[in-house]
Amino acid sequence: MAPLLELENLSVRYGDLIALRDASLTVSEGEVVCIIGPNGAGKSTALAAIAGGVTPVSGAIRLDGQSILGQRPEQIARLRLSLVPEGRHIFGTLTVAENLQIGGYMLGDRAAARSEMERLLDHFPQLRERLRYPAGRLSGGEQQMLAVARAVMTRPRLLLVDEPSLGLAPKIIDQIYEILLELRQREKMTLLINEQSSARILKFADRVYVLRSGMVQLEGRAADLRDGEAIRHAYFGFGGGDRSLVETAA
Amino acid sequence: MIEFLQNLIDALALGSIYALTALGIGLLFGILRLINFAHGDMITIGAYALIVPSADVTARLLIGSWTPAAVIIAISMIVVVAALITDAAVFRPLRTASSPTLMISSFAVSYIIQNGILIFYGARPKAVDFWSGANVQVYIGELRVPLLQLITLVVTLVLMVALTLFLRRTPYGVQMRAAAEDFRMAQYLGVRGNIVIGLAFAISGILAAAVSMLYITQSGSLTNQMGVPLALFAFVAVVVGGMGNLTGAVVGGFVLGLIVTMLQAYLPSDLRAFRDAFAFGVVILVLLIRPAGLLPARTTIERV
Repeated sequence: MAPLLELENLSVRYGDLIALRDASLTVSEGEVVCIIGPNGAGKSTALAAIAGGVTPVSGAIRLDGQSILGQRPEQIARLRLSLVPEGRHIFGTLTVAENLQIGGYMLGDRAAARSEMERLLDHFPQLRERLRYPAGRLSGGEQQMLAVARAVMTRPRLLLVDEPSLGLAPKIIDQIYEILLELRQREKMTLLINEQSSARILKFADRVYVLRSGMVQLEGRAADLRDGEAIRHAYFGFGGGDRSLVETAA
Repeated sequence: MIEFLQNLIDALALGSIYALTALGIGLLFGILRLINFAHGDMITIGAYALIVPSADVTARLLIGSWTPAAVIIAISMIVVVAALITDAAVFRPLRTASSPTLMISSFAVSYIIQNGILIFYGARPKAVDFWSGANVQVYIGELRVPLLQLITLVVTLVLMVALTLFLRRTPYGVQMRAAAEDFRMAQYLGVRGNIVIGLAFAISGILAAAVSMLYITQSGSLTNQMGVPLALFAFVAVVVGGMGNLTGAVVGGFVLGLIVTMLQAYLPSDLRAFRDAFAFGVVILVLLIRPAGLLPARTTIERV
């Protein structure tokens, strides 16, 4: 059976800059896959390419074995593939409720969207209290939760999350991951998550890809990589190294 | 006092025309980052659609002779279709182009429309007798007010309320606001970009059609460049109000109407010929004090 999502030898360039070079990756139904790598490794580019936001120069992107290359972002969203972009991209002048509704319009019928929103808000009690607020007035952590909730409103088969912990306090990051864990357990949601740090990811993910300089350096089951040595090597591009340095980066 | 109140009503009526035009420009700017100078020519198209195509100096009414309801529907439809055609033929192929490229293209569209009108209607300005009954004066106490100005105010109010309700209460309105704030993100959530943009062009067409009819009723004359100064003043109104903010566009329109009318009324008579120079001088002062406009667009507050 074809995996849910498959990238094959994908390359993306921005002018002269090669952001992604022959990257291959698969995500199967029900899996949680994480891409880790330093800043500028091409992680965000990979997710944007999947969501239709950037056009690759070569390679293939397949959903259920069917190519989705060249489709517009809104067409890909309608294939139930939803992106939570880096930096959240909340509609700040819209209310929290309107932000959520945007994700729900795709469902077609209003009653379905409303019941989806009701159900979803059980996972996000803080958002329920602020439904009539302009979303721009939410705290960073609340905005991140709204970004995740808004993407989940489209009832995605695959949720792409780009650096959910970026710029957030550790306590808030814990909350975000608790929610992602809940989505995974209760909704059986398939997740593809980007992160710069590996510590949390290795406990959370089923499989991990390490990306550096636009290339996949390492791929493996999270359980097999927990000692960190292979990841360190792939992440920094040199062996051994100071363990504490990695923990800081991680 | 009575004189001042009459000037104020003049200012509100002129401001209404600027505000409606500025809304049409502001709506497209919000979503496409397109500064659409061809919007003025949509107004011209709506005006010329009233008359029989010919090179005669005195225009004979064509659509303009129908019943008011039929005129309003027909002119609105013609301008909406014209606006949608400019999108499909010019702006849609340029979706990924930069803002300056789009603006230059809108200049090109503007000239093409002006010259197209020249071909079918001739170059000379035309006198037209359209809904001239609306130019009667009505008395409100001691105030003498042209009926048309009251109609203009009411139409503007109705259109603004309708647009506000559309943007706040309907799914497409909410999607339009989302797309205006972050177009790519809206697409990631399944919002169909071309439909939202097409809708914005259609609404700007309706606004332009309303301005056509109000403006022609008042001026009674047609030229192939009649929309250009309107678009220019409306663009100034958008900037004065604060770009990327529809409330700002409306406020800017009324402020500009007020400045122009009051200068016309109270400048020494020798200086009135230079009214627009004074008006734009005031605009420069406003922008020196508030560079982002009177009501700067609220941007997303990035919080950590």
